[in-house]
Amino acid sequence: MSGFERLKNLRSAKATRAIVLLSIFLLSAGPGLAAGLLRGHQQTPINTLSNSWSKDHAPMKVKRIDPELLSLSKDKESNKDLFTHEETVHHPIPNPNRNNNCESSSYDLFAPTKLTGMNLDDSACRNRTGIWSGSGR
Amino acid sequence: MDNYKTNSIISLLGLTSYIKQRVYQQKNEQLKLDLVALAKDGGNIDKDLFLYLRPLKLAGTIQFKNMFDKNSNVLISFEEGLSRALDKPGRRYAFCVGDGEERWGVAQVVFENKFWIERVVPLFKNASAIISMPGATDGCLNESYLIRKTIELCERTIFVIPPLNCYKPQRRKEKLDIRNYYNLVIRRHAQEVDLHFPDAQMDAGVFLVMDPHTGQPIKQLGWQEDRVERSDKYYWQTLLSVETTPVLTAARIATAIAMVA
Repeated sequence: MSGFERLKNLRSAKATRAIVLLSIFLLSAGPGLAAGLLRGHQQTPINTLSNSWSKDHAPMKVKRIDPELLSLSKDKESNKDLFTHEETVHHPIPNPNRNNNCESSSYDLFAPTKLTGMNLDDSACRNRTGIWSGSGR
Repeated sequence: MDNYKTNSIISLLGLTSYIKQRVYQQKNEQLKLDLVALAKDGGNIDKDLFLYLRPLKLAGTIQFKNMFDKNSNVLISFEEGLSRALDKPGRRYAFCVGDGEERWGVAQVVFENKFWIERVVPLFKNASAIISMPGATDGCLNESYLIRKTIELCERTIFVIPPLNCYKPQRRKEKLDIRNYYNLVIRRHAQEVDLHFPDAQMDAGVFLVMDPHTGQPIKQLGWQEDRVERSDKYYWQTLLSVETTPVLTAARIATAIAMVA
């Protein structure tokens, strides 16, 4: 037998052995693997805790809720359904006469954009203070 | 010096977080000791336990305006609200079991999955009341199923459907489409557990006690509302706006608990 044929036979024998071993493995472990894979897609049985509960023979403790806590539930003032608050926010009023004097002006650069309709030119302030440079509003 | 000034100074010094952390650390240490006592056969503790169940995806994400402090500008989580309303050292406390991701707070007690069932059953049995925010996962449905099938548990459970606009997703957690999520919660509970909750609302929350025989609500209590009428005064004009948000006070949480007393 030539070296080539011997090698060919050896490879064939190895392949056969591998197929046999794989078959044995699949036959023995296959059902377990398949079940495991299927279990991953199944929902957990929903009575797991319930089973554990029924195995536990210790009776449920009779509990009495602390009367002090229950008395808190009768506090009508803090138990009302609706709490109403009023808030008044006074936004600073811009003074047009001080328009070019950033340091002394009460004009709030951070006030809502509503104020932009009042022709207040704050570009001078931006340049002078540097706060707004490049960032825009 | 009144409490308000004291609180302001403490906040300014950045001590609030530190103090909370210390308080909850001590509380969790005590809770662990109590759980050990409960795990022993026939173990009992002379305290009221309020067990809060919630999907871990929603842990810390249901937040509302803080009605517990005078400075109500910050939001408070539902967990902390429960704790603030119910806790009294040595007598009673609210707690929930966490997923180990919470850095501190009422949910720092963690069970490994394999011990979950074994450890959680004594808690169910020893709770004075159970507060359950139902979830859509199998684990949450499993808990709801146990409550539904055990009359004594159902009679001491307050379900809470939160206002959906109180959902504030956290950076570290998966962001949910909360409307779809709660539609799924309601549907799965009706189909698989025979618990029939009303639909969740965007701006209203509700506490419910369910009938163990029919699976329908037999008692319910709404969350409260905080209404702010704001007038913004600009130069010559005044803009009025009204903002209403769902809130809870300690008294309202106690009233919810009283539904199962």
